[in-house]
Amino acid sequence: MRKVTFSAGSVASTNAVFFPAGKTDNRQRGYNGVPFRYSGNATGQFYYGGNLKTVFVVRIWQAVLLLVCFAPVAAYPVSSDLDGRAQVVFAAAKNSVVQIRTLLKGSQSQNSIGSGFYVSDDGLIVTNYHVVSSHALEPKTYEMGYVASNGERGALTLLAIDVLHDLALLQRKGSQLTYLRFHANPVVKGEKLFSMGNPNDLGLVIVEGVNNGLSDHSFYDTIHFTGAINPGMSGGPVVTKSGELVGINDATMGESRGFLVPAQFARDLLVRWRAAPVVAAEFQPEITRQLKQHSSALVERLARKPLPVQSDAGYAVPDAADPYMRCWANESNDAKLFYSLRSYYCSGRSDLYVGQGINMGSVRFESNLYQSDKLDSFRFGKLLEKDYSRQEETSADILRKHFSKYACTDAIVDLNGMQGKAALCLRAYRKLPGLYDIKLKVVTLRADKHALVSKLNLSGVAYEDGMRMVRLYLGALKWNG
Amino acid sequence: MERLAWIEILDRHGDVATRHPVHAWPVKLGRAYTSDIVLDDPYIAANHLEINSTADGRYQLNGLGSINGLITNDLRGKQTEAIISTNDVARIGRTQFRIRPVDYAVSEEKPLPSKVWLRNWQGLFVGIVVLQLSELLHLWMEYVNDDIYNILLNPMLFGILLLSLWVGAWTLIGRVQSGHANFIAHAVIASLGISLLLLLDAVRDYVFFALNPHEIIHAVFYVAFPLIIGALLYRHICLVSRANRRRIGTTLALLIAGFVGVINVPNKWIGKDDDLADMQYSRTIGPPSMLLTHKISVEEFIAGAGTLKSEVEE
Repeated sequence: MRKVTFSAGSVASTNAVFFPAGKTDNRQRGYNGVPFRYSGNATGQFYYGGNLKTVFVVRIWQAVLLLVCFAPVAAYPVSSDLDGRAQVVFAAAKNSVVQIRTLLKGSQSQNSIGSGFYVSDDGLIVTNYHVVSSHALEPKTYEMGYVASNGERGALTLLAIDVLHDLALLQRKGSQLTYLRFHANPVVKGEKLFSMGNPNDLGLVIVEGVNNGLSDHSFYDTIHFTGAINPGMSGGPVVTKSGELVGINDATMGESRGFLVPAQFARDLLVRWRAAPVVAAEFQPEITRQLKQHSSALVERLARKPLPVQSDAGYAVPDAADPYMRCWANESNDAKLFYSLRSYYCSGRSDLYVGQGINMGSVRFESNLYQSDKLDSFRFGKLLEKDYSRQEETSADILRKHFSKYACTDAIVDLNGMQGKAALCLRAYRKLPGLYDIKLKVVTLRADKHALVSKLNLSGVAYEDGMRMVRLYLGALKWNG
Repeated sequence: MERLAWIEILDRHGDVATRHPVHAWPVKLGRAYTSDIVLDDPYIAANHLEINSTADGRYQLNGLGSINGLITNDLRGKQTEAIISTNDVARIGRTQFRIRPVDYAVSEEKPLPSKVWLRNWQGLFVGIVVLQLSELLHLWMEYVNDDIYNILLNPMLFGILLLSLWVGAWTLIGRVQSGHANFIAHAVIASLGISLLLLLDAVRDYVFFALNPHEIIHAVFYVAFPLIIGALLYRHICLVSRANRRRIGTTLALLIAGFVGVINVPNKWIGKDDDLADMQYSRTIGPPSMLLTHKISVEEFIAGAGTLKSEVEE
C-alpha cells in the first residue's frame, strides 16, 4: 500500500510528463497492491506476485472492486444532485484544507507535500504522521510549512504525533475562522464520502467515493474507501455530504482502493493534546515510546495463547495467530527439480510507517517444507542450507542511517522432541533505542528426505516482546508424524 | 705450467658465468686487452685490479687506480685494497667474482630426486583426475535440479580453462626466468594444491556442522588455507626461480602473513563500513545423522541470545 504523500522521493512515471522535477512518494507499506507481495523472495524458487493462485485472487479483487465502483455509476448515470453536493461540500470545506509542506531548512524548497485541515479556531491542523515524518525524525534538517487555498504561506509547529494511527497535530499561529467538525455517528457502509487534498501538487481537489467499512486484516482500524486517493492527498480530510469529518486520507492500493484513518483517532489526539499541551523539543523519544507501545500490544495479541499450527507431512507449520494475520500457501514441484517445496507465508498489516524506507512493527511467519526422494542426504542438506542462510537485501544508505550490524547466536535446539538447528539474529535501530529487528531461522534435522525451514521475522519490536515471540514460535514447531 | 687456481665470474644469482684458470700470480683484471682476464663491464677501468696470493692461502687484491674501486662482502664499502678467502665474493664495477684454489673441496654428489613421477605424464594424469573429482564433488552438492549442463559440465569446463591459464602463466614465467618450462610439474602442483583446498573446504563445513566446534578447530582450519596456498605458490616459484629456497620461503611466508593480516584488519581501524546486512551464524546443514552435538532446550537457546542486545548496542 502506498502512502499518498507527494515528495522528492522517487519518480513515478505518470507524473514525469507534467512535473519533470516533481516526484511522487513511492513509500511502500508491507502490504502492497496485490493481496500480498512479498518483496524479499522467500525461497528463490517462486514469486508470490507472479503466482497463478495470487493472480487469480487479484483478478477476483479487481472484479469485485470494479463492480463496487461502477455499480452506482451504472445505476445513476448522471446525477446533478450529487454534482451539486460535491460543489457545496467543496465550497464549505475548501478554506479548512491546506497543503502541508516539508521544507529543507535554509531553503524554501519542498522535500515532500501532503494535505492537512483545521480542526479548531486556534489554528490546529491534523495531517498524517508520514507527512511530517522527515521533520519528526530530523528536525535539524527539515521544517514544516503550509500553503492555504488562497495562496497564503507560513510556518507550522509540530505539536503531537500518533505513529500507530499515522496522525500528526500541527499548529499555525493566529486564529482560524473555518475548520472541520467531527462527525458524531459512525458512517454506514455504502455511504457517499468526499475526500479532499492536493494530489501531485495540482491544486485542491475533491474526490467522491464510497465508505466500505473497516478493512479486514489490519491491526488498527482503517476505513476502506473506494475512491481515487492520489499522492499528495495524504492527510487531507474525508467528509460526509454535510461536511463533517469521518476520516483522514492515508494510503492507497491503487485502482481506487483507498484507506482512511478513522476520525475518532484524530479526535483522541486532539483531546490528549488539549489535556497536556507541551511541545516536545525532540520527537524521537515519543516515536520510540509509541513504537514500544505498538510492539507490546502486537505481541500481547499474538502470544496470549499458543501459536496455532497446521500439519503438513507431519510437521507443525505456524499459522495465523490472530484474525488480522493471513496465511498464503504455494507449492512448486517443477519436473526439473529433484525436490518439492510447499511454502507457507503469514503476515498482516501491523507495520507502521516510521520514516523513509523504515516500516516497523510487523510480524511475518515463513515456512518452507522440502521433500525429496531423489537427493542424497548431503545434497538435501545443501538445499536446506541455501534457504536457511538466505539474507534479504536492504539498500546500503538506509542500513547505514538506521541500523546497527547484526549479532547472531545459533545452536542445535530441542523442538518438542525433534532436533533442529536454529539461528537468532538481532539488530538495533540507531535512532530509536530499545527497538530491534529480530530474525529467527529454524531448520528441522530429523530426517534425510524431508525437512521444514521456518522463519520468524519481527521488525521494530522491544527485546522482551521479541523474545516472547521467539519462545512462542519455537514452542509451536514440532513433529506430529 | 701448473694450474694454481680458478677465478670465477658470477652472474647476479651467484651462479658461475665464466671460469678462468690461473697459472701464475699476479693476475690483472680490467677492460684493457693487456689484462690477464678481460672484462667487458663499462664500470671497470682499463687496468682495474691486481690479484696476488698470500702465504696463508688467501688472496691480496690491489686496486690499480679506478673510479669505482673494489667492494668485498665484508660490507666496508668502496676500498682500494683487500684480502679475501676462497668463499668470499668481491665486486668490481658490476662484475662479481671469487677465487678458488685447485685443491678446493667440492661438495658431495647428490642423488637424483626420487619424486620423478611428479614430472611424468602419469603424475599429470593423477593430478587432473584428483582435481576433477574434487571439483565434481563440490559441484555435485549444487546439483538439486535437472540442469546437468549448467550445474556440472559448464563449471567443470570453466575450471579446466582457469587451470590451463594458471599453469600456462607459470610455464611462461619459468621459460623466461630459468629456461625450463616444466609444464607437467606446474600442472601437477596446481591440480593437487587446488584439490586439497576444495576438499578441505568441504571437510571444514561438515566438521563444523557435526561438532559445533571449539575455537581451536576454527583456528586450525583458518590457518590451513593460507598454508596450503603458500605451499602451492612455493612449489611453483621454486620451479621458476633459481633464487635461494629459504629466501623464497621466507618472503612468501611474510607476504601471505601480511595479506592475511590486511584482510583481517578490523573495519573501524581503516574507516571501512561493516557489512550491515551480514548475519554471522553457522550455516552448513548436513545429514542429521552426522550431528554429534547435543541439543539444548528452547529456554537455553533464548538465554544464549541475552548477550546479543549488548553486542548490537556498541
